[in-house]
Parts: sequence; C-alpha cells; structure tokens
Amino acid sequence: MADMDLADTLSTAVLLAGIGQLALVVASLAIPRVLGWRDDTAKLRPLTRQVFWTYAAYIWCTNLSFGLVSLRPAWLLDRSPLAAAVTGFIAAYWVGRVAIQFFYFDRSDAPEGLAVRLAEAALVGLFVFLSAVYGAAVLFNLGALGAA
Amino acid sequence: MTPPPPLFYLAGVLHLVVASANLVAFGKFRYLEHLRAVPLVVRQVFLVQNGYLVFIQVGFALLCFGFADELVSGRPLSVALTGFLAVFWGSRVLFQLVYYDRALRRANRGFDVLFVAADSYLCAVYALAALATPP
Repeated sequence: MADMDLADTLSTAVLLAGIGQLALVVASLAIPRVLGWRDDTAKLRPLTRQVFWTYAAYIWCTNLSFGLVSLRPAWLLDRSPLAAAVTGFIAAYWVGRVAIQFFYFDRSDAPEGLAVRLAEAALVGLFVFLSAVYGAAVLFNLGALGAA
Repeated sequence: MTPPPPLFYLAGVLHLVVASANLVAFGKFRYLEHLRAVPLVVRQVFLVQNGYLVFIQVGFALLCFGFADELVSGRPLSVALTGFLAVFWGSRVLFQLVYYDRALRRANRGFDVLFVAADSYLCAVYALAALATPP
C-alpha cells in the first residue's frame, strides 16, 4: 500500500517535473533578449557565433525532450534498467546545473532588480526540484526506494 | 529492419568521437580567444553549453554500449529515446549543411566531412531503431 502511494506520488512529481521543464523551455526563449545576447554574440567571429547558437539550440531541444518524455511518468518509472539509466542521466544533468549556478556563473554583471532576482530564485528552485524528483526516480527504478 | 547491437556499439564510438572533436575544436578554432570580445557571462554560458553537450554525447555513448538490446525492444521509452535521437542527429546534419558558413566548411573540410558522416550514420541507426518492429 505504502509502495503504491510512493509510486503515485513519484508519478505526479515526474509529471510536474515535465510541465516545469516545458515551462522552462518556453521561458528560456526570452533569455537571449532579456540578457542582450544577440548584441553580445554579434561581436563574435561567425564560426564562434554559429557554434554558440547551435549549442543553445541543442540544449533547448534536450530540455524539451526531457519535458515531453516526463509527461508519460509510467515510461520513466517502470523499474527497467533503461528507465533507471535515463532518470539517472536526467538527475545528473540537473544536479550539475544547480552546481553551475552556485559555483560557476559570475553574477557581477547580471541585470539588477526585483524581477530578475525573483526569476533567478524561481529558476534555481526549479533546478533543485528537478534534481530531487529525478534523483528519487532513479532510486525508485533501482529498487532502493520503495519495495522492488 | 531491426539494427543489430554492433551498429549501436559503432554509434557509441561515434558519439565519443564527436564529443572529442568538440574538445579539439576548442583549441583549433581558438574559441576562448574570440570569446574575450563578449561579457563574462556569455563566455561562461558558451563553456557550460560545450560541457553539457560533451556530457550528453557521453550519456548517448553509454546508452549505446549498455542498452543496445533495450533500444530496439519496441517499448515506449525505447521508441521515444531513439526517435528523439534520430531527430537530434538528423537536424544536426541540416545545421551543418544549411546553417554553417560554406567558406568555413570548405576551409575545415576534415571536420565538415566527419560531422556530416557521423551525424548521418547516427540519424539512420536511431531512425531504424525507432521504426523497428520488436522481435
């Protein structure tokens, strides 16, 4: 019974994580404009500029795919080795993103203001939530969380 | 036709080759030098994106080495994964042929051929896997 509750809770959490990632995908379309990246990257040589935007597009597509696949939580929580591998990969992806936010990005020339601070808090909160959900999902798939 | 596991092992090797080429390109095309023209945050975003794409490539490679049989199982997660990978690599071929500057491609023909050939192969293998009927 408790295991059923856990499975249901995790299923809902993965679905919410999927919606969160799709919201991130939509919101991230505005980031280049808000942060003025078009003007900044215009200063780069063509190849470096094209590589920058190609990378950005592929990261965006990867986030989109994580969001879409999470709309089917049963696929990611069937306790198969593949589901464990995929949820483990997504968990590592978001844990890394949280670490980068706190330990790598320089915020000294980031825009100021309450709106920016709130947006950043929401973003970091989402990254932490995604790390926790997929971390729990991989433990569930490995049988370390709930009865296998 | 269901792709046999060795085709996925080769795909895994190609993922690692493409990941390595990304790292080699860093030095060859002097990205860091050119990035001095932009604010620090843009430089950092570029480096993070590069790091993530290498991480994604290594993840794809491990998937090919460890889960070749599962990728052609016909299960929904397998079809979703291979379908995504087919689109990912198919679009990468288009990026290479349509988006990147022709003169730059001509000047770096080795890289150009490597990316087009590797990306086309990966697209074909994953598309076959996505469309395969489970055994």
